[in-house]
Amino acid sequence: MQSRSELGDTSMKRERSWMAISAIQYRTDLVAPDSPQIDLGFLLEIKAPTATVLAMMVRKSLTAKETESLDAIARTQLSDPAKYLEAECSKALATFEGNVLEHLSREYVWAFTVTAPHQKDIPTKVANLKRPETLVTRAIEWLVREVEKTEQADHDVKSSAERAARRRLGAGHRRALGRFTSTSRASRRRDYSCRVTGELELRI
Amino acid sequence: MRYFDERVDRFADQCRRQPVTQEPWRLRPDLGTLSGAASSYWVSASIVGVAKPLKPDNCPFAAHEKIASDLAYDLPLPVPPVTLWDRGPLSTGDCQYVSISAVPFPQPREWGKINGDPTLRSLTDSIRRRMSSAMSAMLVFDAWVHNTDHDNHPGNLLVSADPDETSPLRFAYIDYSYSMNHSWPNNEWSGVSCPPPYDRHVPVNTDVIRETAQRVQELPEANIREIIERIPAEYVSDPDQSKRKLVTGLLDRQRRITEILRTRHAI
Repeated sequence: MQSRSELGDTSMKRERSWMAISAIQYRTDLVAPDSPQIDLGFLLEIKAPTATVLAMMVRKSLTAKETESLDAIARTQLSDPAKYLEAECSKALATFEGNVLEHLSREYVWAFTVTAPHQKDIPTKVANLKRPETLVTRAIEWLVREVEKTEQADHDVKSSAERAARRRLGAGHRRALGRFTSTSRASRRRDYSCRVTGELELRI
Repeated sequence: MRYFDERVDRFADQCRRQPVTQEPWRLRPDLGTLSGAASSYWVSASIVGVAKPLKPDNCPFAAHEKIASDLAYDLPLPVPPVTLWDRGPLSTGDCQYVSISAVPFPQPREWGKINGDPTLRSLTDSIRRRMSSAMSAMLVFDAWVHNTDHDNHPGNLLVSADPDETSPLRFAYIDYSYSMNHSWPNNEWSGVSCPPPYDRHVPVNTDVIRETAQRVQELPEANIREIIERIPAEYVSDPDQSKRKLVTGLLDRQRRITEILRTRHAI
């Protein structure tokens, strides 16, 4: 007779563990080939034996200039981006089983876009950690790095004032991470699902 | 009721004059992954468009898109301009002869995605009232070309509303792959099948239905024949038979459009 741990090990070996990330964007002129966009944040999905997670990190608000560029529909929905996107994620979680980002990227393809997920495998030794918080924390770090990369690409940091502002932005990310850690501590289960609304301060 | 972006209007004029594009289109996977009836994908040249089909098919999807778009241009009704694109020989098994449908306005959203969003309730109520005329006109067009893919399909009606409510609503019906010959494997054009309106909660305007039906009936036979006959043979498998069916079906339903509409609407 096989022991419980042996059965568990077998199933873990069979199941591929991955995490995926998608950007959330709003295109203000999809007619134009350069399709200017407003970066709203990122979604992260983790599928591992010890964790099924959908996390998001989105901006708290848009600038006045960005809001001005929106049509009436987007202006209403994105008056509180986090609230709107959290509701969309709840719907997606309730509708799709697994590969939530893949589904969302096929659902939102016009002005409001969820990009095709960039997926990467999670090494087995990480995926099978007894404490899934470690895995989730690493994934959230990836989410934060992606947000920072976008910021970096979009804006050259030229003045010390801007650099100081970027440090404040980093503090916002750390707060988000802290909130997530407390959420995951509260739900130590073999398979669990939790959603995170990150905090992202306004762009400079 | 056709309020497209002015860049798209210029593109529409070109498309109506010249069925096959000479612009250097390129694939745009960075704009996302599309799905749908005939597997479509993003492309761009001077503007952004949606190309289809991805894989060759016996049904002339590209021709359907082009014909529907040109007929709508002549009426004029809100179907985005479509051009035909020869991608050149491909080793991937993808379809060489495809259609490209232009993105009609800067911020298109699928009506099915925003309709029902509780945060938009007052706005969608207003949009629903404002789209009544356009939707009533388009149900005539869909009945004529026998489109079976607009029955509350969440993704086939695009809208955008200007913050200024006095500005016209931007509105476009897309996806005519499942129309005409797809609905007519034999001689089904001769029936009275009338597709339902896209959204049953939008009030139907019978005056607009009657007026649009009249415009359809007044469209010269020569225009209809020209729009079909000029499609290059490569875009239609079995071109002689397919084109004959398209001409016969459209002319027959044009003549009987009021009879077809009366099976569903009190006009």
